[in-house]
Amino acid sequence: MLVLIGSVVAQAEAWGPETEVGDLAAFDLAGDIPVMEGKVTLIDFWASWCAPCKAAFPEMENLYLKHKDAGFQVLAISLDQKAKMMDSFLKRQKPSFAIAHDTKQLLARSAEIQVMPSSFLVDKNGVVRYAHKGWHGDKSVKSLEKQIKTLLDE
Amino acid sequence: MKRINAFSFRAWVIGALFMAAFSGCATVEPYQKGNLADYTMRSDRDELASVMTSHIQFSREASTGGEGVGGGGCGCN
Repeated sequence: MLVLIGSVVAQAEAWGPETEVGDLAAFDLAGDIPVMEGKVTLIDFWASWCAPCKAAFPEMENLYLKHKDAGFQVLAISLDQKAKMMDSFLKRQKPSFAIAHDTKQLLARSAEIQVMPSSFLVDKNGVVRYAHKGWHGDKSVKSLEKQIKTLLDE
Repeated sequence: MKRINAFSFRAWVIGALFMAAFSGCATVEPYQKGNLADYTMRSDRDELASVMTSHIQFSREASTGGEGVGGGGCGCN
């Protein structure tokens, strides 16, 4: 019975379209979390051991550089259990967008991440509008590009 | 004697239920697969051994292939 109640409560918290992101500082994230109000934010959950997550990084960098002046930002949240692995990847990749580390995986648990990578496009009011599961190369880039433009124009 | 047996049976049943409730299946979430995605966990990390295994399988089973997995190799999606 407790398991059933627990799963229902947990389902209600899973991130998806219409989810209000709220205060991410409550999840004990390490790193600087950018202010999301008034900006379109791509929140990406990744890990250094996940090949598709790493493949998405150069494209996210391109998208960030292309749209940052229009009010777009990226927050990449690492779910690595070993910070050393994360640092080693970041040292090589050198992304210019914001990086945070979900050290205790509290946010991942709360958002109920089912696929790595998972990313969420959040509008200027802090509400998730689009959810992406996995990384599908050009298909993902095109779809993100279109959605970012839609949210920036609002 | 009968009473002891009944008690013993009940204890066994309670013990079994307790073990069933508190043991067994633990779910590994996709974001917890860091250790499973490690290079040392790969069955094909030794190229020579992989070739030999494949050769032996082909010789014995008259079939080959079917060793790969889809996705990025991390089992994360």
